[in-house]
Amino acid sequence: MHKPLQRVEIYRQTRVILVRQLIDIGRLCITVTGHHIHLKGSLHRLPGVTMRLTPAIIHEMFGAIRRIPGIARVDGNFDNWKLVNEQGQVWVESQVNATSLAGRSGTFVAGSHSLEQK
Amino acid sequence: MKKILAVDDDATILRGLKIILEQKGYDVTVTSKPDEVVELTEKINFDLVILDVRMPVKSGVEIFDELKKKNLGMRFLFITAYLKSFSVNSSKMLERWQQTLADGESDVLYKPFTLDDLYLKVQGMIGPARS
Repeated sequence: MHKPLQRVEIYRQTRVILVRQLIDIGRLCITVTGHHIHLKGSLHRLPGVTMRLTPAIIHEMFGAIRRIPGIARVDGNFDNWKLVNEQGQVWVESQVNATSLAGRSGTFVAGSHSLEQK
Repeated sequence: MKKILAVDDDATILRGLKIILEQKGYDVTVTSKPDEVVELTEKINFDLVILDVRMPVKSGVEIFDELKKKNLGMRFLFITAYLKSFSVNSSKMLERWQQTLADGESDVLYKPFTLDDLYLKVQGMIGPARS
């Protein structure tokens, strides 16, 4: 298990890799657990960036994240890209889930939803 | 205990951020006055500054620029309701975005967000409240 400070540094290094590829990190949640990084959300480039995100770029990005010292496994659970196993593991763009924000569970604390206290 | 400063012109959001993050054990200071931010950061050593991007007097990005120049070693979480706040539709904007986020010490959270979204970002950036 990583000590908290190490985990913060892994999280930072992951963000650096994502930002380098012009990924909109506001749409992603990064979780670091032990030797495992989990990315969840929508994988998009920043609004205004015209260069398309491709399976090769995602593969390269995951490779770079996997090379962060102490990391053995990187998973991505995206609502607009999925990993298929037909001919090896390949990222394929899937239909964007329109409920990616509105359909999420949990208590919304800001924006168009009212504040609820737990 | 980790210290967080939250800056937003919306008092309801500030109140929510304070309640939620204090429940998680963080020491949270809030202000709706962007002009107070520099003074507060000179008095208190914050681990994280949460900044609303769009505020009437001074934007979150302007506050970020001021604090970055002071090199106080804190991290920044931008909160915005506008997906295009970080739009890079020109090479100048792209350069600006890279300067802001490329060191990995800043992150972005879009409104509306859940308790989990907020806590995951905060914990990822500075770790749990006590460590």
